[in-house]
Amino acid sequence: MKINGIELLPLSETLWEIPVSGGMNVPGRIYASRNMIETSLRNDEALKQVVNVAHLPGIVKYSLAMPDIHWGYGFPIGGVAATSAKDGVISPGGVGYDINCGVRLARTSLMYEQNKNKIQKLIENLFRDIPTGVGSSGAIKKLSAQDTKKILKEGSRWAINNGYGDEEDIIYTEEDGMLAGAGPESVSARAIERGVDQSGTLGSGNHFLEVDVVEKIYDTLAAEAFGLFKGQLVLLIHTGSRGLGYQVCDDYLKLLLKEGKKFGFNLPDKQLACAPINSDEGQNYISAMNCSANFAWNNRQIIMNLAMKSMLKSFGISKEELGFKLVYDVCHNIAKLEEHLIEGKMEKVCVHRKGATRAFPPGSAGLPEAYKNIGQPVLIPGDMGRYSYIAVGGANSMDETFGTSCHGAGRLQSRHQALKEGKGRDLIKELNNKGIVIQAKGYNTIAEEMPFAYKDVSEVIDVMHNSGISTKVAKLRPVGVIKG
Amino acid sequence: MNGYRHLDHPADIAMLISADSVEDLFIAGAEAWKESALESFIPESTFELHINLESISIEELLVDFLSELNFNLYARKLVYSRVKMITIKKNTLYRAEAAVYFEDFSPARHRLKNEIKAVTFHQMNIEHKNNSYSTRIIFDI
Repeated sequence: MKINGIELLPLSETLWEIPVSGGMNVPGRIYASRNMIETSLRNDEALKQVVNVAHLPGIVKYSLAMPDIHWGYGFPIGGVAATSAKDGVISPGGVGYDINCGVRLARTSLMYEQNKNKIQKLIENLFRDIPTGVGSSGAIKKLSAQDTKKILKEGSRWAINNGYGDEEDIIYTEEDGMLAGAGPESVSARAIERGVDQSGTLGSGNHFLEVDVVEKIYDTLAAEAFGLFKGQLVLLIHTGSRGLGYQVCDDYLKLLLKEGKKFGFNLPDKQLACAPINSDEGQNYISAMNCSANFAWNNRQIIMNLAMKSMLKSFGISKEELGFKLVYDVCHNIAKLEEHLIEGKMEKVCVHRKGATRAFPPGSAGLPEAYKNIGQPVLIPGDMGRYSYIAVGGANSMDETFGTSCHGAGRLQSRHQALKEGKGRDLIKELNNKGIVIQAKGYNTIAEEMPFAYKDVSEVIDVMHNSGISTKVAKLRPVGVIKG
Repeated sequence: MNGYRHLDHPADIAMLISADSVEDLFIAGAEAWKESALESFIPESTFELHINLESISIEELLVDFLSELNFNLYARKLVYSRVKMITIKKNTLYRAEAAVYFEDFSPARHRLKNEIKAVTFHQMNIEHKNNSYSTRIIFDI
């Protein structure tokens, strides 16, 4: 089959290959149903971007795309590529502007049915206590540039040391909420200035904080290990490194465009600008990216703690009665050095995950002890009117996708189209009628983020489930949302 | 004709900007950026800032210029008002010298619409045809 002039060979019901041609170093592989290939990918540049990524020097095995693939900058969103740590490259375009954008799931001991009359009040309190919206700031005491530099090195640890969480939260955060090799000197003064008052803020666009009810359990064993049960109230947070991360990406893209010529790479897209991992430029970007990742983990840690305090106030109960615990925090925009099996040998590679979630199977290194035999929780938000999914790293993920799964639903309509479709409708009432309380900074955000603007995430989840990359554990239904 | 218009984009904001001169193209880009970042804008007192930039291509110079407006808004709470004067020159590098009016952000007078993460290079290609300059520009939000 040919889509936009690109040849696609079916390898299975859910996997397609783009054969090597031109300057591609490896084939492209796309996880998708036939329906997805024939509909949403038909008018999208994303497949071309899968081909472009295959040109990266030192890329190994495949240029991969998850089923929520869509048009990005340089890499497609949903794009995954591993490059040799020895002679490969690192590309800021393979991480994205929102470095360590990610998702955090916390559970409570509360049942929705017994507390549904308090959701309205809870959402009002959450909206007041957690700054949301464009350029939101001032969630916590004013920090200095020096404080921010400490956050860049310490990640979630900074929040815990400053009273925004418990020691146990660290265990349930990917990389313990702190990547080593984060040198604040690699982050520009401009990036620090842009992020200095944004710790503990949600931001805007598709970022959100959601109160959900666990609607369905698919995998009892995994759900039990994650502390999830039917009817339970849980909290889902989606945000990242805010302005600091955006500026780091911007700074290094510009630097690599200017300085990158000396490396002599011939790449099909400017936004794939990259540097050898072992060059000064590559090492500096990795350091700045790690700083941004740490900033994001600290951000989600503070938001979760502010949210917990809002819940205590709203429900008028003790911390013990609330039973608030972090289930997991995982990022979906990052590049990390990991060991993977390449042509029969374990090799160190730099796995770029852009809009793709790490999904390590049972027995993998780096998982919390309680999840060691179960696998890593994979947190996949859908849209604010339907559902989100909790999955677990599957048996095939290491062999096929460098331990990676999808990250969300992907947009069906542009923001402009969604605004047009929402015109003249009472969207808040429509959500209320579905049992969802919403508060947002602007009505346009609600329109742009309505369920009709997104693909159905269940189709994406099923492709990953049927491929054995990540398997379904639980389905969540939103009952309260705050957005920017 | 100098100006901008929206193009469809699945997730972000895409604009087509056009102008009779390169300088006016930069001004059209600035106005497209303002339209994308701000819901409403009631101008009041302004002050002038000088922006001097050098880049290896005209496209990168435009991205750098608009990125200055972006940075000033989100990091320094300074809202771009209008371009007083801009000149673009090319020697070995492309160079912009601009005097730009800004004002302090005030929630009463400035309503923000989108948080623009960055001005991207994606699909940017400044074309000069029939005495007109134009390019696509995409803001990542």
